[in-house]
Amino acid sequence: MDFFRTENLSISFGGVKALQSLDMNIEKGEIRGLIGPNGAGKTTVINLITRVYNPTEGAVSLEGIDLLKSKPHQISQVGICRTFQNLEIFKSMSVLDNVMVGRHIHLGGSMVDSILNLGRAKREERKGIEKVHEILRSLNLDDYADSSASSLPFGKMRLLELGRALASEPKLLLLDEPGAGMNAEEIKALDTFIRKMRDQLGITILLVEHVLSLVMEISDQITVLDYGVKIAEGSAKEIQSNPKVVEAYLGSEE
Amino acid sequence: MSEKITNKIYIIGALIVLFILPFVIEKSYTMYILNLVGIYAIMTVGLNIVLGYTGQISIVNAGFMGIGAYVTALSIVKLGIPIYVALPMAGILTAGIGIIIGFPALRLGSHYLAMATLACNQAIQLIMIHWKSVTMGAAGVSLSSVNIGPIALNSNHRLYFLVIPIAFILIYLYVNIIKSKLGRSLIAVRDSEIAAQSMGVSSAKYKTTAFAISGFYAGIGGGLLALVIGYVSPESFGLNESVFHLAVLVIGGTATLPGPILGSIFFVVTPELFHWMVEYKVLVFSLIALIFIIFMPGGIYGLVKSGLPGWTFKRILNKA
Repeated sequence: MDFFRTENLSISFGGVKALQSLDMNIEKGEIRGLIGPNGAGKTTVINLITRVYNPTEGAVSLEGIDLLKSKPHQISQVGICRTFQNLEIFKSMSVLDNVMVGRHIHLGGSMVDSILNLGRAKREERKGIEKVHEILRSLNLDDYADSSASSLPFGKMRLLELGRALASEPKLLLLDEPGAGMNAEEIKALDTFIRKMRDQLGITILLVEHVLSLVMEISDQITVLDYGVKIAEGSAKEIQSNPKVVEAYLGSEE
Repeated sequence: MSEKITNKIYIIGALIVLFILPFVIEKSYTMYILNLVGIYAIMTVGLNIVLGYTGQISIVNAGFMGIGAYVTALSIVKLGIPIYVALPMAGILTAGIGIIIGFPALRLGSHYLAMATLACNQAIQLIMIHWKSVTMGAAGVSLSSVNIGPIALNSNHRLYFLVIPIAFILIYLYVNIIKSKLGRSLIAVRDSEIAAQSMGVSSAKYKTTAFAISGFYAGIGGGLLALVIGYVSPESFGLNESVFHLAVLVIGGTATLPGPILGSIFFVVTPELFHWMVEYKVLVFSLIALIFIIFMPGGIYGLVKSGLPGWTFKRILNKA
């Protein structure tokens, strides 16, 4: 059984075929890069996996579980979490609370417990806060724990999104351009952090990225999309020398 | 830790003041005003949860309040149910109606939701007018001398000891809600529904919960209002009342913990201060409200927090 697979995954928006029959298998513990020129359908893939969009055709599964049977809010329970290209942080909350929302599915206790601030809800809340501090420390964000999330510099907001997704303890993490808007130094730190997530936490990663140097360096396998169609798949070396990929990025020579 | 302790001192201090007030104040009318403040605080605190923290525009709060008032009044007058059963029943029933009215919120965006809840408010009022066999129609229902056991609730002083403890408990629970996983989930849905969903927060569940909570609060508030005024009629629960709740919340400070309480004090007490200028009362009052909306969008709480009084207040706190 494959760890994660998409089969014939397709979607069109009013006649525009944003993604055409994508077959993709990701192995457990893999870092998979997903690249392609602007509008190639990379974010669409993430939105399909997380059920933001309904595919017109095809199947998606994680460890044999059919994801199309889940509602959007159930995807994290199956073990998939994501970050957002255009930052979707909870602006009015503190940094700590943002990551606490990421912890949502692990915090037990009924709503009544919550309202009365009693019992299981209170205990798990306390445990959750400890865990969240741990995550923030690993991202060097712990000093900002009580600051308002909207006051963070841009690069740190990206890290916050990463921390929030990590808090749900996903098996598969979908990163949508985590390096966008970061400087070289921040990208280097991100590189190390992504490896650490895989090596120490055993998280499988699908990395959608514009910063090609980052993708080439850390991906085990790379999938290339162009106009919604997969045009190549393989190791960084194979991709770099693939004429179809070169053409998609630089245009054909004629 | 020290913040927790100072908070506790404030709460105990407030409790003592609230307990002493009815013994110091002799005027029945003043007690009536205090009871109204408590009731409006209850109702707008609930509205703050759905509108402020969950970001779902609700213009049906007066309808909820009316349901609570009618359930309380009718079950006491017609069925002889004791008040300590009738009042919780009013809250729970209105919460149920809140869930039903919350369903459109799952599909409708802000402006359409405003229209839908407004229509619900009108529908509730029409039912009160036309379902005469139960509601007694436009004539309304009178409640005379309600008892709790042997004690007759026949004065504003006595009602105070019913209204204020309930208000205190409900406000305490409201603070718990906002500071718990539940409140965090509501705010998450408001700030970014797509991110909340991908973290496992079901926006459908939490939006309907928010409507249920606001229904519960408005239902209890309406029930208490029926007791304090002693009379329930459909005209009290129209669109203008819903808009009034909205104004209380906006001027107090939307999505802030003390906002609705400050707004309730402002809106119930200030008109009384302008009694001497009877003809211009509404005009002056509306002007004050307008000034707030234009120049102080953060409401009274925002003003206190950012302005000089707040600043000095914080300095004192930090030194303590």
